[in-house]
Amino acid sequence: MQRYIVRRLLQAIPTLFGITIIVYLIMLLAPGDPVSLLTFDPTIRQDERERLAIKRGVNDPFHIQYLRWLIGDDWMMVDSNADGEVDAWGDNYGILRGDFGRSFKFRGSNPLHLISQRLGATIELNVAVILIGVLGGLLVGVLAALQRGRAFDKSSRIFAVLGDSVPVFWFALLAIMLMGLVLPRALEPYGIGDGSPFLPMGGRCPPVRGGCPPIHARLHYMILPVLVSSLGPVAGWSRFMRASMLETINSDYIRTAQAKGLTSRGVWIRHGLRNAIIPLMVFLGPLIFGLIGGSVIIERIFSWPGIGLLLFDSVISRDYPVVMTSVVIGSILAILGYIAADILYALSDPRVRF
Amino acid sequence: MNKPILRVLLILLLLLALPASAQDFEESPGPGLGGIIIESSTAGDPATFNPLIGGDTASSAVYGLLYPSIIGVSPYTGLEEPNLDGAMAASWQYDETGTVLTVHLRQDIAWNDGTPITSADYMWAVEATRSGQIDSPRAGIFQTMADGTPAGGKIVSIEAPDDYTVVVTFAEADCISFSDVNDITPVPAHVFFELYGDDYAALMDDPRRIPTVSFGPFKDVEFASGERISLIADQAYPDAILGYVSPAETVTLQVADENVATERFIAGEFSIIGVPSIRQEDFRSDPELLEFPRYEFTGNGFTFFGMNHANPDNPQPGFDEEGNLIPQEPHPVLGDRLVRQAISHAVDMDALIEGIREGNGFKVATHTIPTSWVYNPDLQYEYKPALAMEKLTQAGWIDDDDNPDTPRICQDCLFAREVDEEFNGSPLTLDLHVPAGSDIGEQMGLFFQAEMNKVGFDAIYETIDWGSAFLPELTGQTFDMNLLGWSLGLPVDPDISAFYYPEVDVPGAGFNFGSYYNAELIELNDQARVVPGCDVEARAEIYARVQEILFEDMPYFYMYVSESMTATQPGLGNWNPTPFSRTYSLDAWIAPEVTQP
Repeated sequence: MQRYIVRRLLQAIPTLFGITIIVYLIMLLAPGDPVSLLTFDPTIRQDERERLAIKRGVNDPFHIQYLRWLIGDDWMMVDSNADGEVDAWGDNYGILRGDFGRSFKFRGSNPLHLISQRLGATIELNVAVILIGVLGGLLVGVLAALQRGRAFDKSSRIFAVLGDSVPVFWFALLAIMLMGLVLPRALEPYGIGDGSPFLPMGGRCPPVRGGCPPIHARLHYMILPVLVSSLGPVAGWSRFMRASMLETINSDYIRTAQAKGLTSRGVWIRHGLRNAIIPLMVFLGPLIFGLIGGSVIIERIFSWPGIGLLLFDSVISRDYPVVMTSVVIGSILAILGYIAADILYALSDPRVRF
Repeated sequence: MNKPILRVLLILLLLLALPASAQDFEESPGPGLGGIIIESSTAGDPATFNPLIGGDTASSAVYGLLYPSIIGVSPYTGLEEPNLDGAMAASWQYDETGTVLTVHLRQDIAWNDGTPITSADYMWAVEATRSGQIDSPRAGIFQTMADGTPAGGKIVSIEAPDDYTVVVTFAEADCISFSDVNDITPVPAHVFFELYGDDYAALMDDPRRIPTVSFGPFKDVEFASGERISLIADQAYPDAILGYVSPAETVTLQVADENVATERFIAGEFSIIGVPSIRQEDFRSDPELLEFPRYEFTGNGFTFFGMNHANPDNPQPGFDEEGNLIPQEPHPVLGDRLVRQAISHAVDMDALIEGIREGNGFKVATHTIPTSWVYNPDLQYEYKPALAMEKLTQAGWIDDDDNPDTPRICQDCLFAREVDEEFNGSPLTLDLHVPAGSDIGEQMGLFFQAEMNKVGFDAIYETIDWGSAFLPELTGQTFDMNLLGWSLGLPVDPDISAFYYPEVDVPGAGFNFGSYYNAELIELNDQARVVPGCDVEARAEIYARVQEILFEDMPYFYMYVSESMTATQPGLGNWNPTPFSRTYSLDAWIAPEVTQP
């Protein structure tokens, strides 16, 4: 197993480089450039625009820009201003030496710092969504399989179709309107509440100074975004789990276990559920990547300060350093996630050997 | 809108512009006892809290509360005036050549650590900007950088002969360069020198360093990325309207979606909000929303369809490398002024404003807006489809099959006469491009397409991505007609040099996207820039003719100025909006009870 993990990690290195080269190339080939986007203002003079472009090296050829990002430019001299003479040594050290560059949009801020400021909120939201999505999906799927053909099974199927097909932004807006305006105002005449929102309509923390309180003190801020975000995962996981469970309980060994006189609970839980979960293990690894993957729509509507909107804005504004930093972090987590999925699979299924 | 109504509106605007005195404000519960003001913002995270490197809306909204300007802009007139709250200048004058500006500074203001604010604070900011070591978007105001490299601006030097005098020398007399002086924000030199010395590049190491010393109604920024910016009252601020700062704190919450922000405002989460265009009618007529006090005003910018006057297949800069004017090959359709005028008569702008903008627009036909001192209400495009068709025929675009549903064709049109005879027989076709993401923009694109096609165009409307398609084709000058809006800063000046001079006709970079220039227009604008003392009346006379030329030539299809609306919670005290500022009296506000956290 150890040799397998080491081999996979070594194989991941060229994969990672390949990803960064392809992403960097696509980014540079896309029409539009960061300086035009950031300085689309007639009060900024043309000379200033050119100076910014030279300073950021965005007019240099692809290989120079990529090398600068990867290993820095303190060892090379480039003619960035195209005056026929090479410029002074650069002051970038490159990502391999721990320098993630400087954000174009955020005036030289460290991209890693920008991402880390938002990471907590994203992990907080996504852990809750994954937990509810996986656990809720497993529960609904198992119950639907056990109640096959009955009302619960049929209802769960309708729920799954709705969960997969209703646009999340629509559901999110509906939830905000309902809990923030419609219900509080409708119920106020009956002495329920004072007309103010039942749940916060957005944000992650109360709007007071002194930083965000501990998570247990602001769980109510998570209810709407987590519920809305969980709808799709619960729907998807419940369908996977139902199918897997049905396949398992129709197996010969389940019939054998029943014939041996085991209790129903023992058959379903010890033999059925345990084996039905195995095929789903392959999905758990990539969920690690999902932990940091922000959701632009949820973050936008619920004003959740995660990294989804930051990365979206960075792509739109061609903030190469921020985009590339997120690509590197995301790629590493995705690779680790897939390795973890393989290991989990081996651990849960004794037939699998490396 | 007809002329009498227009005049009444302008008179009302002027009446609203009368300055308020401290007596016009109600007494607050006391210093810092006026509650917490909570606003929403769609602008995202500020890039920096440092005014020397900032430029985005979110950043300037924060550092605008923390640093003085050297010359103030009146919230009542939108013009630079001496002795204004929050500004350093007590008076200024030009020498007889008009190239040397001497600014005398107020001697009664200090940073909140007690250090007097002097010319040294402005000079430190000037030297840092001119050093070229920082990513400042304002270095271009100087003629040369500190190392002697050209910077392209008009300011030759800035000096401080004493603590309360700043002398600016311009390369030539130029009324619009006055605003350049204000582009640089003074910073507390004693603090910045201690932090950075002369190593200005070090400013870039921590762009979000929280200012420890400031001058403004609020201080002590607390920032949570993607979430919130909070500042607390600074009772050391000497220019507070009531003599003290009323609110305890001002909080700006980030809400990326303006529709959600509006609902949250209605639910009582925000003290004040800029009402999105599509909800303005609701706030005027919905009985449940009438309780919110509102202020409606004509916006500070205009929306237009930019038109390319030059051939998009062969974009050329205004000048060659030797500085000679490069003749521009005309656009096959829009190169002819008659065709551009025909478009102005083909589109029913009143219907567009009423139907698509729900009445929230003020029709304009030149680059000046109704609140400008040069606005001429008599210049209006007339909706006359028959005249549009007549002009097209005059321009050599004929309806060869007497079928208005098919596009006209060129028969001795301008392009066939001057560039390529084989162009005869070509259909009257062009592209209308609108940046993706705006419902109103998309509706306007469709409306223009329908209106233009009624008179014989084959206008093809399309929405395209801003960053990857719209901007490259606009700046690359490969477009036909593109929908755009300009938001104007304060003070609003009618100068046109940033848009219609050959110097800024640079494919890929300049703002004369359409390669439009008119010798008489440029001469008039040059004259207006050197009027002795920059006398407003004398300049207005020149710009009256400038507007007539623009109206005739139609470099753009100027469309409308948005009618904007700000609403507050009932009970927001001392809110005294003007057409030029909705928040200038912030330090006197008394927060509404409903929004207190």
